[in-house]
Amino acid sequence: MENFSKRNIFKVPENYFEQLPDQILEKKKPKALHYYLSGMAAAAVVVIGFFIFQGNETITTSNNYQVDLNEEVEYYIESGVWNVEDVLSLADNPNELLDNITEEEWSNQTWVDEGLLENEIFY
Amino acid sequence: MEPKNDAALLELINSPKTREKGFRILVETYQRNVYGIVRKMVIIHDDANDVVQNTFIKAFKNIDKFNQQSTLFTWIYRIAVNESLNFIEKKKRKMSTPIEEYHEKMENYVDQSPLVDGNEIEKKLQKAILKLPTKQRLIFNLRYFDELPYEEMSKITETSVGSLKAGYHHAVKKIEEYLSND
Repeated sequence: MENFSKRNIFKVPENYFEQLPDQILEKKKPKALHYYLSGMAAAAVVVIGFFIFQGNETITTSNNYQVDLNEEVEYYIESGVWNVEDVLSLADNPNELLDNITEEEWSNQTWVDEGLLENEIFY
Repeated sequence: MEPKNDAALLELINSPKTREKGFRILVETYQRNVYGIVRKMVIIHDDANDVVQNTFIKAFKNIDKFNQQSTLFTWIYRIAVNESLNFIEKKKRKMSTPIEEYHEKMENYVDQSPLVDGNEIEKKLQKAILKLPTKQRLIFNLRYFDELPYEEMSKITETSVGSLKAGYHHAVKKIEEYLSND
C-alpha cells in the first residue's frame, strides 16, 4: 500500500467551489418564500373571509364558498396584483404566522442520526 | 471570508441579522472537506454535488440542535457521511441488479470521466476500494486519504476505535489481495 499515492484524483468543474455557497443558499431560499407565500395566502383567506362574512347578514351555506375564496386569493397572487407585502399586510400577526410555518416545515424533516452497524465493517 | 472559530461562527448563525452570513462562512469553511469525503464515496461528481448540498441544507436546518459536544467539523462530517451512506443505499435499492450495476457505473466513471485525472495505478486503487463493502470503504477513505485519527473517526461514525482499527486492517488486506491478483 505504501507504493500508492494518496493524491486526490477527483476533479471538480471550473469555479465549482466559488459558486457552491451561492447555490446552496439559493436552494434554501425559494422553499422558504414558497411557504411564506402559502402562509400569507392562508392568512389572506381568513381575513377576507371575515370581512365578507361581516358584510353579509345572512350566513352562506354554499359548499364552494371556501374554494372560491382560495381561488380568488391565488388569482390575485399569481396575476401579480398582490405581492408579498400586500398579503402580509392583511395578516394581524405575520411574524408569528411565518414562525409557525417554518417550524412546521422543519419538524416534517426526518433528522436521522444513524450510527454505523459494526457487523458490516468486518465482512 | 473572515476566519472563524466554532463559537464565533455559531454566534453569527444564532443572530437573525448575521445568520445568512454565518451560513455562508460555514459552507465556505467546510465545503472542500465535505465534498472530498462525499466524492470519494459516491464517485460521480453530480451525485456528490447533490449530497453536499443536502448535507449543508440539513446542517442549516438542524444547527439549533448542535449541542457543541463535538466540533462543527465533526458534526458536519457526520451529516455528510450519513447523507452519503443513505444516498448509496437508495441507489442500490433503485437499480434492478443493485450492487453490481451501481458499482459498474462508478468503475466506468473512474475510467472514463474527465473529472478523474489519476494515472493507471491510482485508478486501479480506486476500483479496488470500490470492491469493499460500503462502510469499510468509508473507514478506508477516512483513514487512508483524509488521515483522520481513529478517535475523530470514532466520533464521526459513532463506532468504537477497536472496530475501526479492525475494519481498516481488513480493508487494507482485501485491497492488497485484489491488487496482487489483478
